[in-house]
Amino acid sequence: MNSKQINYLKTIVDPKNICTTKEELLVYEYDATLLKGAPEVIVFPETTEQVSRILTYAFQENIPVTTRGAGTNLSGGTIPDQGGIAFVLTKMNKVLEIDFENRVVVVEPGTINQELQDMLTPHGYYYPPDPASMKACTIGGNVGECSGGPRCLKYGVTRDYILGMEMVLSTGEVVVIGSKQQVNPDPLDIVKFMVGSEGTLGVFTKLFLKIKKVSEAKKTMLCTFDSVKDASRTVANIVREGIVPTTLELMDNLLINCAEDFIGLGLDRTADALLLIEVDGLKEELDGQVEVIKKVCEKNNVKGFKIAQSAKEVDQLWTARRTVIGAVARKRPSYSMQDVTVPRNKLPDIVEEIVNISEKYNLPIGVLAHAGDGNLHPLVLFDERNKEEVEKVHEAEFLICKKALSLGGTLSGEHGIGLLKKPFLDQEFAPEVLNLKRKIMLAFDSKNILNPDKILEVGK
Amino acid sequence: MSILKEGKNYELLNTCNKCGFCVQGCSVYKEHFNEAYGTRGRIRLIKAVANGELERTPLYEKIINSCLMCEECSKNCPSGVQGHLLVQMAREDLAREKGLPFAKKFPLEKVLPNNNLRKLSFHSFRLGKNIIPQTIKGINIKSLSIEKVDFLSSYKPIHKPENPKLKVGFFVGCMMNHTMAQVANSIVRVLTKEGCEVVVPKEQRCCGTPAYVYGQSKVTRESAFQNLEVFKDVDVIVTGCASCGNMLKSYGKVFPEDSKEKELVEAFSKKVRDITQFLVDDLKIDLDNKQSSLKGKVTYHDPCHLVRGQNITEQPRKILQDLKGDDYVEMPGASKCCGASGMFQYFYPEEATAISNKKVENIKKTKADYVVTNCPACYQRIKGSLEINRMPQKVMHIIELLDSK
Ligand SMILES: Cc1cc2nc3c(=O)[nH]c(=O)nc-3n(C[C@H](O)[C@H](O)[C@H](O)COP(=O)(O)OP(=O)(O)OC[C@H]3O[C@@H](n4cnc5c(N)ncnc54)[C@H](O)[C@@H]3O)c2cc1C
Ligand code: SF4
Ligand code: SF4
Ligand code: SF4
Repeated sequence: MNSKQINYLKTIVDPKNICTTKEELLVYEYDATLLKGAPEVIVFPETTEQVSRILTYAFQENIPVTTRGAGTNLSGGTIPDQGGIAFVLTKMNKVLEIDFENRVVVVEPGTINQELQDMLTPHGYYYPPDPASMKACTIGGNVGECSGGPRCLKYGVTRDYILGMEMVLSTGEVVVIGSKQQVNPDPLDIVKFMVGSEGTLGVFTKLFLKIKKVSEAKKTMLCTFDSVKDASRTVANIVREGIVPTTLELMDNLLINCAEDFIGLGLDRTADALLLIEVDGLKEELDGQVEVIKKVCEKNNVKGFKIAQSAKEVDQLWTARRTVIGAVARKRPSYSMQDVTVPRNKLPDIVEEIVNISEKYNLPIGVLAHAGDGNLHPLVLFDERNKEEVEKVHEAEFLICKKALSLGGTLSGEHGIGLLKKPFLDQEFAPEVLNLKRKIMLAFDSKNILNPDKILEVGK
Repeated sequence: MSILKEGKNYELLNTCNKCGFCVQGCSVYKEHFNEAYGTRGRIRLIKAVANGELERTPLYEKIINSCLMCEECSKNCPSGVQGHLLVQMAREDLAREKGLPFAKKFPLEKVLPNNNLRKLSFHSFRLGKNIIPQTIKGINIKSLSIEKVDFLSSYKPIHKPENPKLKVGFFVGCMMNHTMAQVANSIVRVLTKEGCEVVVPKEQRCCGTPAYVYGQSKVTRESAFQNLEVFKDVDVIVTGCASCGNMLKSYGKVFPEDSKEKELVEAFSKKVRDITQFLVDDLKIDLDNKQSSLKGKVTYHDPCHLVRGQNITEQPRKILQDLKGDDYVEMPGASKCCGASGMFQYFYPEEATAISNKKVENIKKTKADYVVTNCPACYQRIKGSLEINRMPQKVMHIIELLDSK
């Protein structure tokens, strides 16, 4: 970009919201992955009008625009690898409306997920999508990636909670799609389409979200096993019994030990696998459900079965779960996390393969899984400064992905494709499907300026 | 070679995996919404300097210096990265490679560690206050009452109890010494009443926090040796200043690994207690039968260097809840930094004022009559900010509740 272009941007937003210093460009060249690519300018819009005017200009001048929330995504979706504008929406962070009667909230995209929850909690409400990164990530980013979390087994992912949005197209046009109504009468539902679009179809400026009332009661259980197989069989059996827990999370031995190092809850360090199970609903239903779950666990050789007794204990278990990824990262300087999904009953197979791969490449790999959905996050630990090791990591991950696909699974549960998983895409989708996707992307963004060539090589 | 490149330091810089979990907790980021002012960004830039990708530019310096040392990031990082220590390391590197500007260097190296010069400067500040405006850079200067004669110079030992339980050394700290002599006297009285022999060595020196946080560990090391010497024959060292306590308890970090000095200061550190910790955990004072000196609603502000620095949250709350006569309410965001952070408030007035105003808002929500805290720096900042906002609350040091005269 030239200085004329940058000066023009300064006529649209307050010049303090345009950054070009080397220092600032350096901190916007990365996200939570190991990838890098520096923008030429960072722009912090404060209103929809500014978003619109910036995009109008970028469209006219053919400038790439990489939209960014908190930059915590795990697929390189916010790396401005083609330069241009890093479009950072963190200053548009107001909660505009909370309507308990209709159970709808309207937020700006830069609102932090946890901060929204904090406003709802005192009133007995919550917003169900709960990515482990909820303290750090924005709702705009959640919608961009269609994020999920431990609760999504029962309550669904971001897609299930988006009623509509105000959005700016690549040409600068502002459109409102969907509405604040709980029922969306539009048969060609563009809203659902936008969820998970990773910044390639438009820039969200307002989001209409569904919220829920907190259930009357919940029970949190902690079960340990001597083998991952037993744990994963338990998962499949529980679901077969017709019980839908809010949460069915699995951690392997490496993760148990790391969580223990960080929080110190007294978890069984010798266990091979741990299941964190939570059920919610009406008080009188729960005891029966817990009984059934306990029986299933026992049938599958459970080692320890414990029900959390106090709110504090539940809190600690959740903190352990939400921070375990980082806690694992203490072991080695870098980690890389995959996000594959396999049919629930195939969990033992993929875990077995991961153990083999870990041994073959001599790389520690921990396994964390939203086991209820068969969504796995194998965490490969290494040192990014060691080039040889990095090569091995790539190979190991490739094999994990291949195995997941061969088991009838997919490559992305909830972390998106971005740049990181682009190379695997033609293994998952037929060429015609990819072509169709490409056409849709061009229909929204004819010049391919919005997060260009993320997800797919679109070309112009 | 820059210290940033030294083995262990460089390793620390590389442990950040950029997950971003620390960013939203950083109060300074929350004023900018620009990652350069959040922990993850700061670490990225320090790494860039270490790798030679970036010069030590004025903007870099600004970014490194605009950190509150509130330790919020270190507490929030699941990977165990100590963000505030990395920033401290970067300041150490800046001080070595570029030197400190005079406005910082002179007070840090010459005035605070020298008991006479320090007295003189607080004294002239007191006189000067009459001719300057109410606030400078958002700091309420007029509300800061500086003692005519500081506590250490005026202190007269009081009768020691018969068969004292313990011999307690009282570390007063510069800020309390010069601005809150009445609180310092309360601490001595309460400890004596609880059966301790209290000694107050006059030659105690500034704990060394200000020098440490601006990268002058050398000065801190000298303070450590002096304090080690003057407190050598007491059973415990008690302080009523969160920052002092935090520093005294962690002197080990300013000495090289496995050095003899480190061992010595660590033995000293083991004897250090915050006043609330000492009263509740060690002396287990009987609170149920004690009357608070206050009536009405009280709330509590957690000093950064107590809640995160020393993991002390329950002891002060226990005192406030158990004492008879007052009514305790928790304030939202009780543990968020108040915005003072030593010289930060002077060099970054806009951020500091905004951060303090958030604290004031949270105090307002509690409808409390009193704000209690446990650190002279927080005390002064909150008091000043409440006055600027024309709020009626009175600020008290926690010991004042226990010292019913
Ligand atoms: C340790 C760790 C744990 C995690 N755990 C989970 C988890 O449990 N579940 C989960 O789903 N994810 C998880 N994530 C991934 C990540 O936190 C989520 O993808 C999150 O939703 C990203 O939000 P963000 O604000 O950081 O978005 P960013 O990373 O800034 O952006 C994400 C994508 O959304 C686009 N985007 C952002 N804002 C807008 C907007 N206003 N309009 C249009 N497009 C936009 C961007 O272009 C980008 O493609 C985790 C990440 C980490 C580091
Ligand atoms: S300092 Fe810790 S919390 Fe912050 S980005 Fe680095 S690893 Fe994550
Ligand atoms: S110590 Fe406080 S101000 Fe400094 S980077 Fe950490 S959170 Fe931010
Ligand atoms: S930390 Fe305590 S002793 Fe040190 S300068 Fe501040 S008030 Fe003085």
